[in-house]
Parts: sequence; C-alpha cells; structure tokens
Amino acid sequence: MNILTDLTIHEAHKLLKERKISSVELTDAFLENIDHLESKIHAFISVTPEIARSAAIKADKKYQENSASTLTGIPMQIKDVISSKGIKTTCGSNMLKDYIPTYDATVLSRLLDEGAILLGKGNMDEFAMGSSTENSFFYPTANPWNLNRVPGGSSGGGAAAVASGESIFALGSDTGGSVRQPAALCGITGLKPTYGLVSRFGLIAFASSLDQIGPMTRDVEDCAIILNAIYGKDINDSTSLNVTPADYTQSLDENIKGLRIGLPKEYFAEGIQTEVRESVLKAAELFKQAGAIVEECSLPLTKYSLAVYYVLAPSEASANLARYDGVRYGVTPTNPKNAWESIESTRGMGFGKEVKRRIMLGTYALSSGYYDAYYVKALKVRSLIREEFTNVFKKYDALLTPTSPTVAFPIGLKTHDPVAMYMNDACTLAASIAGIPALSIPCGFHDGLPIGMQIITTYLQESTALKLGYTYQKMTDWHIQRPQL
Amino acid sequence: MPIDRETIIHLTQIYRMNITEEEIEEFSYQLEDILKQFEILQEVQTASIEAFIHEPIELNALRSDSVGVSLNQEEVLLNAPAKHSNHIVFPQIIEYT
Repeated sequence: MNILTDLTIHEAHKLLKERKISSVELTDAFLENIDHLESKIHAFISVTPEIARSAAIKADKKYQENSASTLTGIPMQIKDVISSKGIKTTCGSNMLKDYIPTYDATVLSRLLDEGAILLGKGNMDEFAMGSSTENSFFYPTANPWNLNRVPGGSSGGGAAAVASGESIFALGSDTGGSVRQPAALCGITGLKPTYGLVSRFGLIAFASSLDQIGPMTRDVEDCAIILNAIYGKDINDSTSLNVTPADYTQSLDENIKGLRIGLPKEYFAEGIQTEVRESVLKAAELFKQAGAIVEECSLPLTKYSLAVYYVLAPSEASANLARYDGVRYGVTPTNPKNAWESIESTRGMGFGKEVKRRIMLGTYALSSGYYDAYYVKALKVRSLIREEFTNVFKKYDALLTPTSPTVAFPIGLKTHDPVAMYMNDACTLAASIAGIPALSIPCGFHDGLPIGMQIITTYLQESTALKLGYTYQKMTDWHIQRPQL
Repeated sequence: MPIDRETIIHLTQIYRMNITEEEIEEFSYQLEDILKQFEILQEVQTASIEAFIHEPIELNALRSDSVGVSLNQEEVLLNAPAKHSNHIVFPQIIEYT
C-alpha cells in the first residue's frame, strides 16, 4: 500500500501546499492502486486516467500560483448516478450502459471548480436500488475488509474505493441509507445531509422526495470539507435550500459538554447484532465521559419506517423511471413492430430484476383501488414520523443509533430474499423519510469487519452531527484502520 | 393481500414493460411477501393527518424568464439510439385512420 493513498483530504492538502508532494504524484499513486486492486474490488464502473492526469497538472499550477483551495489536486470518485459531461454515466444499469451526459451535475461542477481530480465513476446498485451493490449490471463490488462480503449499497463502489485506498473521497447518493450503510460496512465516514441542502441537479432520479447526495470520506473533517464545497442553493434544482452561508469545518471542536444525546430504544432492539449494539453503547459511554448528557429515549413509530419507505420510494421510482422509453437514450430492440413494442422491450431488456420488482411494487401502490390504502397512507405516516422527530429534538440535540443492524454479510446471501435485503436499511430509513441529516462513522469491528454508528440531528443541524463525530474520532482510532489488501 | 399471476401481468401492461415467465413466477411470491410488510401501516390512526410535504422546501420556486444557454441539436441527439438527418427515429406512434 502506497502511503499517499492512505492520506485524508486535509493531510494531502497540507502536503500539497507545502510542496512536499505534487498532485500528479498523488493522482498517479491512486491510479496505480486502482490498477492493482480493481480486479479484486470492482469499486469503479469507469476509470478516467487521462482526465485525472491532465487535471492534476492544472492543480499543480494552481499551487505554484498560490491560488489553490482545500480540494485542489485531491482525487475523487463520483457515483455513477451523478452526471459527468462527456463521461459515461450508467447508473449501474444496462439501460444506460452507453449513456454520455451532455452536462455536469452541479455537485460535480462545484468540485471540479475547486480543482478536485476525477478518477472515475463508482459502482452501485442499479438505479441506486439495493443495499449490497450486487444489483449492479456490471459486477458486484467486494468489501475491502473481506472480499467475500458485500460493501453495502447502493453507493458500495464509493465506500469500497475510499476504504481500499482507490480514492481519497467519493460522492454517493442516499435515498434510504445508500451513503450511510455502505460507509458503515466499509469502515468510513458518510453523511446524508438535510433534504435540499445539496443540489440534485444532474443526479439521475430514483425517489425525488428522498434522494440526497452526500460525501463519503475517511474522517469527519474531510466530510465537512466536502459539504462546504457542495451545499447551497442551485438555480437548477428548485428543491435546493437557500441557507445561510456556513463553514462546516468551524463546527469541528471537542466542546460537546452539555450536548444532549438520545439513544432511541427501538434502534437497539431485536434484530440488531449484539456486537453492533455493544459498540454503539460503548460510544455512548465515551460521549458521556466527554461531557455530553446521554439517556435513553423512544421513537415508537420507527417500526413503520420500512413499510413507509418501501411504499413511497418504489412509487416515486415507478414514475421517475417511466422516462426510459428508448427514444432519447437507452437500449432499444432491433426492428420492433410498433412504438409500444419498442418501449416494452426497452424496459424489459434495460432494467434488472430489482428495478423491475420496485417498478411493479410502485405501480401497484399507485394503481386504482390501492392508491389511498398504500401511497396516501404511507404519506400520512410519514408526516407522523417527521412530527415524532420534531418532538424528540425538542429534548435532544442528537440521536445515536447503529447505522446497519449487522456487519457486512456474505455476497449472495440475500439476493433471492428481497425482504431480508430491505431489512438492512432498518436503521437508516427514518432519517430519510423525515428529510433530516444523519452521519455514519466507524465505531468498532466484529470478525474483522467494521461497525458503524449513526448520529441523527434535526433539520440543517449538520454541524452538531459533525461536531459529535469529530469529537468521537479524536477519542478513538477506528477511522484510521485500513484493510490489508 | 395475494398478488397473482394475472395481477403481475396487468401491472406490466399498464407500465408497458416486458418481463419474462421466470420473473412473473418469482415476483408473484416476492411481491406478496413485501406487501405483507406494508399491512403494519393499517395499525396507525391517520384520519386527521395531512399527507407529508417537505416543510423547508420553497413552494412555487420560480426563476425569472430570461434567455440562457441551452443544449444544441447535436447534444440533444447524442444519446438517441436511432437518428436520421438530425431527427430521432422511432416507430410510428399515431395511426392514420
């Protein structure tokens, strides 16, 4: 393992600024690692070495001219659901295997403007539907801590790349836990920001009331640096929030004395692996020792999150994915008899099983006779879940929970049992449903596999989650462990 | 709530999506399992509850109607599976009577 590929963003930036390394050296170190590891990990769908090297030369010039920012010359991987101009953006799907966007997503253009270096596009579950990256049309990604285990999903490529030293950081997307759960399973830091804090322009839509882009990094400080670069109003995304300008790195101090942390008992109940539960409870003790007030609380509606999510997300997906008709993009049959046959074949050929399953589910929930019983009912329960969070945050500054009920499971174990697969999201869904921020950070190991914990805060209180995560990482070294590859 | 073969076929017809015989078989079992998980929602009293909307989102977010740069014809056609003379080729949709 090359030492350069172990660096965090803030460490690499310091070395670049002091001219102890160049961006070309740093970029080449990551490209070499990708060459060396990709046949085992499969974290990337496409790698862009020429683009990366050319950007690294420009980044080095910026350092020479003293016009570099924190992200100048820093290599990154972007999930393949985020549009990149002139570079294939497949969404992990046969449908878009040759699709080349004609514009950059806002998050990508903001990072490129800062001088970040694009190494390539991250593997993912098809259309971000999955919790293991096994639903990628191309190949499953392996967990760098144990190559026979899943990395989580749907942003499994990003989590595996950051954990294995194939990228310093990645951008993922999180609809029901797709940044946080793979971050937990691969031992990295991942943030789902408040719904609307980060622009979704150029993010290929899955479930529009839930989708959010978030950073996947090696520590909380890097997470704050990336959030600084990507948050804020975007004229091209009407759901993006017009928030007061903030510097999230300013919240990174260890002053957590008096902060009130709730441990919702529903997140520590049956179904949570014993070692996961114990690791999170040990972390709660550390917070207490650091001066926080920690006590048990209750969110009784948590048990409805899974049902609410799996009604709403497939319903929205079935509407969003109706755009794939094979007219402007997508795979198409040869010599269809008529327009309908062309559209039906395009979808039949282009979508994988999980996508079809969710389209069927969403179509069912939205169909005549079931709309009120499923879709409207789920929206109403969603209101109640949101209200329950609002009430609990009157008493607590943050909630601490496991991120995933278990550590990484074997590849292939749950592919034929969708309900068992959906249960992996049990701890992450509620924050997505309510639209509130949640940070996952490493908090232990079991059988050589990382355990993650989740810090949930109320609307736009990313700073509190980052402060707590930063403090925890100052007290522990789980986040600096690296897999032996 | 059982989900039978006819329902699966009906759903694919209204969505306009082909699925294989194997998928019909597999989905009818799996969708039934998944729908069972949804029954739990009926426990929750929601008679007086409004359906969820994201509160912080600015409703009716509008921008000024100003001229800007848009995609050119080449860019619009870049990913079209079939094209001819700057047009997209697709089977006839409207039938003449």
